[in-house]
Amino acid sequence: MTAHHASPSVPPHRYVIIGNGVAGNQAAEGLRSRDPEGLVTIITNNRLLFYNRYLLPLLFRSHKDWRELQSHSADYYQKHRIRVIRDVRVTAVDAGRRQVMLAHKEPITYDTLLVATGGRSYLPEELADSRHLLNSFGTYEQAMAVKKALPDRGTVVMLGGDMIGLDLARTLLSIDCRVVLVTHETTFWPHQVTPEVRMEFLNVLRDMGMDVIDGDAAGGVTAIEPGTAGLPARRVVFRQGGDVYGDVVMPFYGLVPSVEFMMGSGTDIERGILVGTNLRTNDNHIFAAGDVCQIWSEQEHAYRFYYGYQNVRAMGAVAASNMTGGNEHFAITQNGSLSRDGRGHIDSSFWAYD
Amino acid sequence: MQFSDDPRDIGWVRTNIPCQNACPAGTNVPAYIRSIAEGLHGQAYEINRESNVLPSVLGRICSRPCESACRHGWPGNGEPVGICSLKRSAADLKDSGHRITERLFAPTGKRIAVVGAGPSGVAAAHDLSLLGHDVVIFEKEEKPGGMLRYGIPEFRLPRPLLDIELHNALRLGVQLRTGTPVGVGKGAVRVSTLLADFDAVLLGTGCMAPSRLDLRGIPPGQDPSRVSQDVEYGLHFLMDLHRGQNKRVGRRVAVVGAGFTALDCARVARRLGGMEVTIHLRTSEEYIPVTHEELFETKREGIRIKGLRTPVGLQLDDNGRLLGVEFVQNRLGGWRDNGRRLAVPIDGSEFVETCDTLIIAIGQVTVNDFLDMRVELDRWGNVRIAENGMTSVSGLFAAGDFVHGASTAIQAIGHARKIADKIDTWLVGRKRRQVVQMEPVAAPLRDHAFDFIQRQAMPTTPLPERQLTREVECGLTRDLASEEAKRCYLCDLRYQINVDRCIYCRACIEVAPRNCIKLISDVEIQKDGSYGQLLETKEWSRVAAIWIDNNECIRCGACFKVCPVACISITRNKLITVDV
Amino acid sequence: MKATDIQIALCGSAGDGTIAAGDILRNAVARAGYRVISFDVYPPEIRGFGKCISRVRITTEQSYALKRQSDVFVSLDDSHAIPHVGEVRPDGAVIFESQPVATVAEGHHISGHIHPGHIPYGIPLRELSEKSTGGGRSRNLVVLGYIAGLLGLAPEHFLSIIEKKFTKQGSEVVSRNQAGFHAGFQAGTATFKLDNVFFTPLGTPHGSEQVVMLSGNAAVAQGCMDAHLDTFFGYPITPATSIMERLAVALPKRGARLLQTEDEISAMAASIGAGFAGARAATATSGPGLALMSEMIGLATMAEVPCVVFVSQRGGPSTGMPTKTEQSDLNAALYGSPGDSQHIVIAPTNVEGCYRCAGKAFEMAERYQTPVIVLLDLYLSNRYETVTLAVSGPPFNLNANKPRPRLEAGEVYKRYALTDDGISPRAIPGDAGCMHVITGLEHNELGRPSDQEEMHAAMSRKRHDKLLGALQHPDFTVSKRFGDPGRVKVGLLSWGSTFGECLEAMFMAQAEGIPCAAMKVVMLAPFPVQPVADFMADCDVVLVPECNYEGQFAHLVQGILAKPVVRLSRVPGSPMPVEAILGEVRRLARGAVTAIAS
Repeated sequence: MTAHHASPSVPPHRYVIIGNGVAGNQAAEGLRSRDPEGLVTIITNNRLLFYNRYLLPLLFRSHKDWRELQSHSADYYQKHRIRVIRDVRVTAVDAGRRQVMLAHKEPITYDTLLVATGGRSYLPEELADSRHLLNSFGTYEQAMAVKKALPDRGTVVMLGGDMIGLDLARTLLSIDCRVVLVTHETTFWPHQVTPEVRMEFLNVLRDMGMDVIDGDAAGGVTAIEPGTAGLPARRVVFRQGGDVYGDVVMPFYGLVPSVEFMMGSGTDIERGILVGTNLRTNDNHIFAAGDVCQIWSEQEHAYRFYYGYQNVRAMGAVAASNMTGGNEHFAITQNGSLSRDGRGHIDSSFWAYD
Repeated sequence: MQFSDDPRDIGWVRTNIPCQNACPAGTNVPAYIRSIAEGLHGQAYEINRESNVLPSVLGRICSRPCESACRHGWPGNGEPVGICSLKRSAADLKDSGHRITERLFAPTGKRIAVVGAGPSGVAAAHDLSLLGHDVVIFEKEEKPGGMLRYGIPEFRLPRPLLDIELHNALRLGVQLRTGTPVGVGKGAVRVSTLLADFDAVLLGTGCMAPSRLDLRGIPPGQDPSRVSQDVEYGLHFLMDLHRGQNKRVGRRVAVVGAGFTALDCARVARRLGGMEVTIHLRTSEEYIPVTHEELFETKREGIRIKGLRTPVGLQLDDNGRLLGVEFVQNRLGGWRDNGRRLAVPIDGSEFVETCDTLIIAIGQVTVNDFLDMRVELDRWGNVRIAENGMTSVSGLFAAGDFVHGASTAIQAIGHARKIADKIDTWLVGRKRRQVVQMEPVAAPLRDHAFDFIQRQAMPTTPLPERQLTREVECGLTRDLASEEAKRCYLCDLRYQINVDRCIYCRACIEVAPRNCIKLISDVEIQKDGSYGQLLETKEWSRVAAIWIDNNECIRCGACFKVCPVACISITRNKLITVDV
Repeated sequence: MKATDIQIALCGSAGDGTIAAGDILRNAVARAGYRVISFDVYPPEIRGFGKCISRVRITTEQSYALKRQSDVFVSLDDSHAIPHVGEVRPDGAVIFESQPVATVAEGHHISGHIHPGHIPYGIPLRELSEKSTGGGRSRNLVVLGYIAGLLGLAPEHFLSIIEKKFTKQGSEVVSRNQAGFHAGFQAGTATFKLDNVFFTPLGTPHGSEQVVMLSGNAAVAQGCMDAHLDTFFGYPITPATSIMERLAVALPKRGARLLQTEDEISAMAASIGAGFAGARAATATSGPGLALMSEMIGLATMAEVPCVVFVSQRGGPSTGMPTKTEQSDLNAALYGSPGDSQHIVIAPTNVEGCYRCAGKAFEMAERYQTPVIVLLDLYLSNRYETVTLAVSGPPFNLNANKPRPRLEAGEVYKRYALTDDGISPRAIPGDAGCMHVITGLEHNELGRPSDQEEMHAAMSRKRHDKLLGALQHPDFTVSKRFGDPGRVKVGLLSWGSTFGECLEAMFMAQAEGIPCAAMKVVMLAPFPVQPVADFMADCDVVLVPECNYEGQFAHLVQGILAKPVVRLSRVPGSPMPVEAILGEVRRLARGAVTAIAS
């Protein structure tokens, strides 16, 4: 009897994406369309499917359910056969075995890995002891916690004031909350502004109704304390003396890349994962995209971060292409500059998304 | 109490107590932590002192290879035990009237000269004097301690503590001649003279020269501080400071280097008034050989760290004052032997960072020019020693950084102990071997609840109060130390199932907190006679034993407590050295 | 506000405490005032690592079946839970262990199998258990606490149920389990809730009734006790054993007697003897035991002795599938005994029905002087429901059915007198002047053996006609129609435990706009011909779902009414899946006309 042999088929390629944000999802979409047979897996520590974080400030204007923020429905993932492993933590990447190790002691094998874990809010080390008294703004859950803690017409003290924070600030002002900004070198991050532009836009913020405190002049923030009875819930103390009270204190000192789990994998890391404009790391099987990667800039002769929705989405597309044999290069699509809108309010290209 | 030289038992101790194994001095970590848990800080101090004569010092400035190895820090087990902080607490919290115990050997009549009163010299001198030899230390500085005194800032190591422990180490009759350089210069004692006057000479002079950094515009080998008053080697910066000089830095300080010295320089600079202090790394934070805590405190003091850059030139004004440092951008290259990365400069990527002071702390190297005889060196210029600890010159021994190049205090101490033993063997023929001492333990010394105690944070001085000599770390309180001590898994405890009495009820497997109790068909025996891999099986018919995998075991005692037939035994294992 | 309707499924391996957790959960929510229906699946082996699932549906008003998809799904053992993860509805919660003890092979952790529409909650259950109790074995309590915290259920009912459940094992075990619950509760409260599973608060309960949580078998035992059962004889068999176990505890407390006999023949014989002696008597068994009893049941029919047989069906024939449910003993119950031996067969459709049928069975047995078989099945015996009991006392007639004949002076007592309704005066041994003979032989009115043609015909008629009264038995629902009144496209005709699933399917079909109705038939012999005929006349097509292979009930209906029905006969060993019924309803609704025509 002669056995009937099907033509020896190549097992489907295993693409694993760590991170469930703009870059990761853009890449997943690209991978699916370029390799219909491939196995696409997204791994995330989030409970929710991909949602648009740019919409989080809107939660303060209306009662939005997280479902309204979701970029794709559950059916989308089913239809495109994109597996999303949620609410799990990656502890390490074993580049030798090509496995992602999860905290529940399960390995996930990849043929090609994309690291797209993005960044998380940076907190200067000197404020580490006050972490429990600060509210972050990175996830839906955190945004809802702020909303819960903030009374009607309450006061938010923003430390630093990066563009993520200022986006929230303009929403808070529109609903008659008080916003106190304590400036820092990261104010307007990721915009790099000259002292003149900085002064100009701090005045714009004042005109919009924000209280602006010169953090440097105050010697910087040394501690956050719980407010005493009868006063708002938090007290921010300055090194040179003086303080300011608020119902919620939020650090907006820019982002630091989430790369800890990549330590020891042999992948080159400085602050972020180091990649070329083709988003390849020093490991042939590992790519990185989004806020987590530092891209070599031939013009500037330096590794650079590129922030903003459009840049990150473009990186996701480039990564997907190159992970499937393409040879594309990331080119900056969005150049950051501060501007003023029709009402004279601050505006930024980083606030643009679609 | 039982003693064993069975390779399986020796192998067990070597592989199952990762901290002790990682410690260059072989400190019996679980034993001293257990003593702290029992409130016996003095006893803990003595256990430390058996392998390391400066517990109070090392409890502050050790590089902690033990903590990187600690089983509690293995994946899934949480954070390592604060072994170093506990060492310090043993020293800090022992009774004020604590008495030191020393095991003295009869005098041998042999005379040994030790060159250098740094950690290796002091450790070796102490051990040699215990062994009955007469020891004289020659030290060129005014005070003993070497890098401990002149390299490490006081906010990390208060000098009164250093003085006490050095004194305790040397009080058994070691003669200390400070201000007495050994070498070829005027007023210096020659090594050949020492060799003639003493039965043996030990060189422990460490690495007392800074690694040179070639900068554009500065002749190779020339000290850049001679070009600009704003540029200095970190080693000189710290040594001058600790010799009592007034040091100054500018508003913006750049430190290049990646080790403890670089961090120390940056933190001193911050205390001397540097407002913007930045540490520049050739590679990146992932690969720098300092502890997490040290790095965190450095950042907390407002010091910034920037990676992937190598300084290549200085920008000076007409008066030689520093305007900025020219760097070249690096990418990460291949791996170095020590697990660190190479930095590869990228052509044409030069850029300038403006600064007022530059401190260069990229490493230290040995100095050999004081030797008045030919001694064989290795390719790094370090002296080469044979298996018996001797250099190519008969009677001339060497220990510590002088042999290995710049490393750590604990490595120097550990190495010096070994060399002291070898000198003793060479001089009087005593030999030693290691055996395992096994002491039965009646009940688990731990509770499973201990596994959930978080690592106790070291209390620190508030940022505004951090002055030049004020110690930053405040030490664990008695309560914190007691909590931290409970965290130790006590890896010296060996849990074993007596296969003859086991009834295979599997009760122990059901309560196991880890995958630590296994059904096995066999155990591999390695070449050296020690146990290797466990061969697990799922088939009941092939189960030869229920075996406690000591690699996974966290010594919670749950199995011991639940066993209905008491077939699980616990012994406390200790590697001891006995005279043959 | 929307009424509460939440189904929670817990899945684990034997030893994980899955069933225990389900038990605490259903008791706690029942104590809080919710209505519950719950069914556990567990392996036949006593030791080992078999699959256990406990499903608990919690509602404001009593529901009739488990839902097809759970709202909350808990995995205590991923290898068992992964195949069931599809049972969670979109936006439902999947709670799983995020810190397992051992390494997990790739693809064997549930996180990789959760559908995109589910909300994952990875919880360090073991760690929470170890931290709070010193051991990892209270994961089941931790997860209950987590559910309570996440869904906003007050902890006090859980704590008191935990205390009640573990109090025998000592206060340390109680406090350890309560500590585990607390740890989970705190974690649940601290979790941001993303799923849309909501408990709505309850109104105040009616004072005139009390709600208790019972399994089908417990309800049978309770019904027996409330009907003042005097004697019980039995031989253990799954799934009927727990009836005997409960009565063994309860009966002696009231001075009544229970005897474990050497086999089922003896148990049946003893029950008949007790009935003959005037005591209320019962036995309980399953299919194989019923087979052994069938000859004795014939004796009771012939001798017109009241007795009650509870039969909990399991997978057959023969030893079959002892731990799986099935409805395949209908024929045996109806026809199992040789001769023209009709007796009463009733089959409750839910746990409350078990209680009522148990109590009413004794009334009927005595009133109509006949054996009564109460047909349950494993699903009904073992499932838990909240049951409403009247505070005013049991609704059963305790004495009216023991009529003592009044004898005129010199009158001869005729034990089997031919009467208009076929019911003869019943006396018990010792009644003055009522000495009589009972026998398995055909007999005359006095009970003396007789094989006269006319007498056999008269007696046969009497034994059958007297049963017709049961169709009008007071306070007993013989059959009942639900759903749309009047003409419908699809009618669901069903009996026994499957009726709950039929009702659930009917509600879903109605929600889809399909006109449909459902009828439960509780009394299977004698058969309620008229109501069923009326119902069938209203339906374009009649669907008969039942858990047996032959379509035994459909046979019965078709045999009596000679009208076509569509059969849905399945033997999954588990309850009839609601979606199977619904799918059939949809299919029939689309092509109803063709179905009739063919």
